[in-house]
Amino acid sequence: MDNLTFPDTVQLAVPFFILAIVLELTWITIKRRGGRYETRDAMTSVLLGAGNVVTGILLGFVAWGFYNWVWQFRFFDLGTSIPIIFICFLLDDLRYYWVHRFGHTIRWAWASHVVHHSSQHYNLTTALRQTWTGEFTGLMIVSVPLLLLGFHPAMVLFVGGINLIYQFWIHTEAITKMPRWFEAVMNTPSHHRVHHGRNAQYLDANYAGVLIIWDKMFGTFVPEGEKVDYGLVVNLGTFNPIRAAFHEWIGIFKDITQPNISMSDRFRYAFAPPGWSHDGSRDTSRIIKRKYVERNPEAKGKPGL
Amino acid sequence: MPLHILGPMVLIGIISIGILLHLLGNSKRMVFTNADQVIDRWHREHPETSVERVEISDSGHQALVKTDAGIGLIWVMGFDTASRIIALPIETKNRQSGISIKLNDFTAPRIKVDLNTEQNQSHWIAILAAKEPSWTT
Ligand SMILES: [Zn+2]
Ligand SMILES: [Zn+2]
Repeated sequence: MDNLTFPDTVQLAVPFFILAIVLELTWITIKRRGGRYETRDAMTSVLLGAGNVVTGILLGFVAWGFYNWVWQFRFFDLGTSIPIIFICFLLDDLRYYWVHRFGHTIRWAWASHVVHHSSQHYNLTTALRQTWTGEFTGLMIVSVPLLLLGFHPAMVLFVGGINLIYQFWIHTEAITKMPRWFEAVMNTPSHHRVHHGRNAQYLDANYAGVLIIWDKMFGTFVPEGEKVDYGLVVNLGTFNPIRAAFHEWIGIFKDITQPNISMSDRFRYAFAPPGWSHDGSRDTSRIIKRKYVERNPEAKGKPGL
Repeated sequence: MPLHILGPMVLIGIISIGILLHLLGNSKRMVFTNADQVIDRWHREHPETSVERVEISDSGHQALVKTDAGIGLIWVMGFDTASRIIALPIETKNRQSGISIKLNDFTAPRIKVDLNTEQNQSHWIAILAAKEPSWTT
């Protein structure tokens, strides 16, 4: 069982990704609605996607080695039957929810995940806009319970890959809403558009991977209402993929090495929520929401505010 | 998937999507045609500030705003915009048909402003050097 192999699903999906992008683009061009494509923005996204695959090949051994090291301390060995793979997929989706939530609420993890949110567009190429530095966040520890329960490392990586592939198709404006029952249970284009919004009410919402139920359970679900304004609170002023990939790490480095602040402030610059500052010169999403409600009192009590 | 298949496939995929996008006219850039449009885009990222004055560059791809929170620079990113509050005085360099502004910002290191006449260039340089009375706060 230790030489178990699962197909590398994300790499296998590449031709379908390319085909789907061409189809979406064709649809938008013919219908003149359902999204926008901008050349440089889309190029930045796909180059970041390609770089993500490269860094995955180069650094994948870190997570793989860590998973296998944890695996030796497992309490059970659940095998690889179809029901076990299915349960693993569900539990891993819960794992994804928390990794993603930490990715937005701890700056150290945000430095990696911010890349995915750095486009002002929302189309299938945005799905490919992925981090190059995921291995540096240390969030692979969130998989530890799964491994200790006896889900094999190869299976855990496999279902995680399926999860990411599922999320590809939801990065579109071409689909407005799915059937009611589907919207109730699954993560959909509508739910995930909210997640990519920089509107105050949409910040820190809808962390789901495949099932939206986790957001409903943990109180982070916000339904799509007002038009989504995609991108970051402070948008990037460059299309350079290298700058997009590393900018928040540079930001952390600059902040923690500045003179005349305390050690605990330096610590907070790395691990407090994004937007935290020792002098209050920046806004966290909580403050952005509060200020928004002050300017728009009628919005008080709306989901996400 | 073996790398000697994945690599070329990704490369050809990226290049063809790029060419297709360009041929379909998706490389166009937003153009600022009036102050209200600039203010509207500025408020998107700086909703708490009030804008007192706007100066649009000759190409309409960049603009300066004077706000109650300081001087702001806003520029076009494809169909969209990015913007920053900038601390004056700020270093500028003369470039062919314009000036370039160096921001101390990894996500927006240098912004080129398109200014066709010497008069417009010196006007912007004066504002950015904090030597233009109507633009000093
Ligand atoms: Zn996210
Ligand atoms: Zn996304």
